[in-house]
Amino acid sequence: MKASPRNIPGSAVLDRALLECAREPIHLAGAIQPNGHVFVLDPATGAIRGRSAGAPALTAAAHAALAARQAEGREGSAVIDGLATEDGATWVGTLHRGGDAALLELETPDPAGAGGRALDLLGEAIDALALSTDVAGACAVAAAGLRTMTGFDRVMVYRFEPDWSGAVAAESRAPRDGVDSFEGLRFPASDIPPQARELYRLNRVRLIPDAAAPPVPIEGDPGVDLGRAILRAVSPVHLTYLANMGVRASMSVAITRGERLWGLLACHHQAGPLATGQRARQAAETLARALAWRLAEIEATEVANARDRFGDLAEALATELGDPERSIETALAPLGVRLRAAAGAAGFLLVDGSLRFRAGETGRLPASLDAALAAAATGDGFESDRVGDSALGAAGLALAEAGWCGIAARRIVRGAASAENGEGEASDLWAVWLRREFRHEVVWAGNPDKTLAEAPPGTQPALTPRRSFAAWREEVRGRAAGLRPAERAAVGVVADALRHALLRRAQATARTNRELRERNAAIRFFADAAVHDLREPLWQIQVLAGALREDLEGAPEPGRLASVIESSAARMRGMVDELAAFAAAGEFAGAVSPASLASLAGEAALDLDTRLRASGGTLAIRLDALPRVVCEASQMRRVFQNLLSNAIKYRRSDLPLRIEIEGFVAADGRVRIIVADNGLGIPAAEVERVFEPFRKLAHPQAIEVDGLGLGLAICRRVLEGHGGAIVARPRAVHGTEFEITLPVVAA
Amino acid sequence: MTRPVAERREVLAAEDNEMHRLVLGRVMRDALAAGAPVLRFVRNGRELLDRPGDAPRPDIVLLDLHMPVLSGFEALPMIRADARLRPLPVVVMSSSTEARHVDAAYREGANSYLVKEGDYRRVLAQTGRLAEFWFGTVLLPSGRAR
Repeated sequence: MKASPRNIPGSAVLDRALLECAREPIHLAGAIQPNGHVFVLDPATGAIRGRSAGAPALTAAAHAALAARQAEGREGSAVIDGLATEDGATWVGTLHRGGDAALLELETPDPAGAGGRALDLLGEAIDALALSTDVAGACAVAAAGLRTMTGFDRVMVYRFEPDWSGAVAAESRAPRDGVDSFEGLRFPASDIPPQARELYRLNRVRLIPDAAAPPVPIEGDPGVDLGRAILRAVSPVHLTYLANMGVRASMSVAITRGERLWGLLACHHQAGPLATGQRARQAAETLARALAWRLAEIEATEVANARDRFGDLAEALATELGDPERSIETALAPLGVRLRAAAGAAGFLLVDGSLRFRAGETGRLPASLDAALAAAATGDGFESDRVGDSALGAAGLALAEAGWCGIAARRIVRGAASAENGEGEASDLWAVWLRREFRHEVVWAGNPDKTLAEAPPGTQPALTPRRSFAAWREEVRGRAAGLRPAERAAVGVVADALRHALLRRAQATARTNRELRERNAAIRFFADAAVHDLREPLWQIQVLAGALREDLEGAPEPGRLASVIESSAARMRGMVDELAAFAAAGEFAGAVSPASLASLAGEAALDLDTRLRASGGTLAIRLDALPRVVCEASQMRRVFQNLLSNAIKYRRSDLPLRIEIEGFVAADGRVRIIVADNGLGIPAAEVERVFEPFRKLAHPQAIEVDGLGLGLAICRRVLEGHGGAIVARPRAVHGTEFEITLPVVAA
Repeated sequence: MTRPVAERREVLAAEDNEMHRLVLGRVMRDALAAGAPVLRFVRNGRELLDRPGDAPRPDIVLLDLHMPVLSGFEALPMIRADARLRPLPVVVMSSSTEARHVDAAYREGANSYLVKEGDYRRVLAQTGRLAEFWFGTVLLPSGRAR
């Protein structure tokens, strides 16, 4: 039978019933099962302040033995063999110390030889466990072993899912009619409510030898906490549950891994009551521990295998990302398929504030995935096999809408690290694996939703165990397969490798940056020194040659020679000035401040006025519409100077030079300035090369070819230093057009 | 120039380069002829600061920025920190037109910044204007003739 997805009837009524069931104080049962007796002792004096109804009086010797164990003063439980009561019976006592009251439980002793037999069977089961190599196999061995040790009709390994529903991982059954298989069935989380799960921490074994036996009340101290007591009476809800399943006796043993209750060894007996002695219970508990241990080993092996399998991927990541010159995208491209395969994912991506890399079908990704991950992550990771219901879904990320059900994410680099490098916002870098829906069927042990008792209208119905445990099929949608331990290990290997490779990459980049900075500083220092040391003697030559020329006014030939020296020195000094300007271009030692580009262009025009007039050219400046721009004025002025000088230099001899400077604010908010002339022009193939340093346009008709060829290189450096740009293009008819772009920085 | 020759002005130039001193002397003579000031030299900023108290007090100081031992940039704040030298007008002479040099010179206390002209005629004109400004236009601090 197919059913609609679960939780649809999960109305407020059901939620409340679940809550109330979860609140039932089952540890304060106020009664015990009838297969023994309980005494409530004052923890300080040892005086008996309560007992189960009909409990026989302890003998004086039993009192003395009890007092001796209590006097040890330790907390925890102690077993006292051979406690006698006045009715002539002998018992095995279990003393639970600590808390508000000490409890003494009396149970019938195991028959002779029970201990040896339990130990033998335990040894066999552990031997078999050691030979099992996968989770299913180990669980099957444990189930079979425990059934042999205890004689229950059905022993299951019951594994808790992340939502605390239970799945039957293995089962061993008596070959008898009526003992149905529960293998592969799923039990809802409400079957074992939170307070029952909590009691398994305190008391690892829960034993019900006869669900039909009437409970015996505690007299004298009915409110005593029976959480630790093996004899604690069974909650009525649980009794109904067992009866509906046809179970007469049961035992559950906690399987814990780390702090978490991983599952239970769950035993059912249908044929009738079944007593389980102390030794068999201890053996069962030991078997549960051995199983937990073996499961951890099996997982560790799987993880190690995954590490081996993905070790070469880690190496490849280190190699590909090692070269900081290559982009992350280029470096990872050949590894995309393997990166996805690590977690059986359809898509893999690296994302921080923006998408750094993607492999596979990642589709449209929601913005600010990184921020949502940072908020949702515990530690450096986030996983969900039901993304829509996770914190990411709650954060409004439309991952499920994009067809993603599962996500596994690992933080690779903390944002603070990149922010320290001055790379802007503190945004973490995440490796993210995206998984598609895994549509499958879960077979529930009975309809898990039909558990509300019929109640008169207007009253809160209580949660009652379902009557039918017949398989009830549910199609699970909107969910990805959970990450298996081996996949999780592979994810870890890849994440570690990425961290390592990116760290090394960042170190390499930092090293390169530092070297570049040092080299720049050295070049700067050299340029300063060279410029000064060259300028001074040139100035002296120039001035002294000028003085000499004056002195030689009457002698034409020596005077002419002196003036050649003078002008050569002057030209050379111009070149040194140009070199100095190039070294300083784009660096702002002086203060930046808002300046009028119209004024700067006007000043530049004034500087070149003589040359412009001499060339017979005209200049029109239309920059009044521009806002003031934050810049270093002297450098920006030089840009105009160099462009004007260039236009004069490369004018046509057959056409009057006309220079136009126009500016406007473009749609993107940046200032755009066009400097156009009608000169010789630049061939389309040369428009980029003219900005290279020491590149002089060797035009056959060029009128003046003075200087070092740094003019346009200086312009480009200055503009790039201001966050702007300059490009050249030939005009349709004559000449060249330079386009300057500048950001408008708020003053 | 209404002053008698006996009251010739005094210029103290901090200049390390022999050639440069020669140039300065020649330029002053050519530009100002009889009005040329007495030109005294120290080799660097250190010598300027260490001048004995009874040394002749100049009217203005010409300071080269690039000198060994104590550069102009280093000497300027020390001049401004020295009670005796503080009132002296300091004219920085440099061949650098770079804004960072100009800004730094003024920041450290220069009274003006002169970019050395190359063309001889212009050098003479510039020197004439310099003398006209400092010796003919403005009043200088008193106290030279103690």
